[in-house]
Amino acid sequence: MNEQSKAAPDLDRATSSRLLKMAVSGPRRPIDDLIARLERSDGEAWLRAAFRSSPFVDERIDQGTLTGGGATVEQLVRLKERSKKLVTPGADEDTRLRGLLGYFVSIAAAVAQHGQFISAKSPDDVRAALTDLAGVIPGPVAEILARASFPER
Amino acid sequence: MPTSDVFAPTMRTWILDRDEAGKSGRDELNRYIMEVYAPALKVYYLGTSYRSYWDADDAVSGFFVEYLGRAEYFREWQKSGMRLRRWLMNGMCWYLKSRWKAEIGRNKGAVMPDDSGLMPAGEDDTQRGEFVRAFVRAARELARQECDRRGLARQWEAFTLYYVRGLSRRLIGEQLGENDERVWVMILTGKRHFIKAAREVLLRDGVREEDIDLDIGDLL
Repeated sequence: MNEQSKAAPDLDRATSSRLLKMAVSGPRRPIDDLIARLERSDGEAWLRAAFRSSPFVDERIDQGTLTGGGATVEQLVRLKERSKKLVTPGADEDTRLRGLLGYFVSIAAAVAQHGQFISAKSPDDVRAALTDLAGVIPGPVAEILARASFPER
Repeated sequence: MPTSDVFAPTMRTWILDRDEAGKSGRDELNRYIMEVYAPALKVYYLGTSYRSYWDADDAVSGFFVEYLGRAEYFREWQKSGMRLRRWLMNGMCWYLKSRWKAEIGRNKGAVMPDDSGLMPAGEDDTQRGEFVRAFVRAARELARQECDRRGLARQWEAFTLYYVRGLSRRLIGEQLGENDERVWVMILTGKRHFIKAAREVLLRDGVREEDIDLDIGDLL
């Protein structure tokens, strides 16, 4: 707070209220654990390793396949189903997080690259999760999440 | 039991760390307090029956000089369990009374202003509005500094253009020379840093992590 020269101009109350409302977190969601993992200092290395592990290797889908649009809808549905099986009570934390990653990335790729929504969950809830994930996930996969979570403008 | 063990870890805030970090820490802390809280304290002062005695800038800076210099001021705040904004308003109230007695009250015929409403149970709507603006201003500044530090200045700019200035993604993309997907990722990255900063500012005000959503609801 001591770099006065760059300080932003003051905002009116309505704009300030709208911005402060963004900071309401709501109840903790499973994706918040994944976001927290990606925000750790080794988050990028963890992500690279995750794409080389189950569930991605089981479907022969790597990061390049995903970002290049090389996965079919059927493959993405299978990836999503495999991912769900990793997010079970008793699974170790790393496995659970890879399951969450596979789950949300498969849904995002299906929307962004095939225009198909492959989840039974509420589109609004899924979009909110993809939006949050897009803001923290490093590398080109972020752009798939971005395209799947575009707002109106 | 040491004081630090009495309170939840989230109460052991950035403020107390600075308070214990010697002169430079205390200077940094006082600068932060003055930048964030002065505008709202001026509004509070202008709503009191003492408002005709001193200029608002003079009253608030006088309060800061007298109270922020006290060695135990922030430790006492921690023990109080109050939001810092409330603690400062209460301090301002005592300061005004004491200053009035010292400067005005000794004059013959001086009548002490009506104290009713001087220390209200909560903030009124105008004060809440000032605190909202103050916290958002502080959060934007913290987020901007953090984005600069991490090499994310363009992400911060994208966030500001979209959420503050209301530009479309397309226009931001043209301005920053990025495609639509990239622009959205940049906006969201800036947003993530703003959200963290806003929650940090509330933690510094003494709000517990688990109460932040409720506190925002109260302020809005």
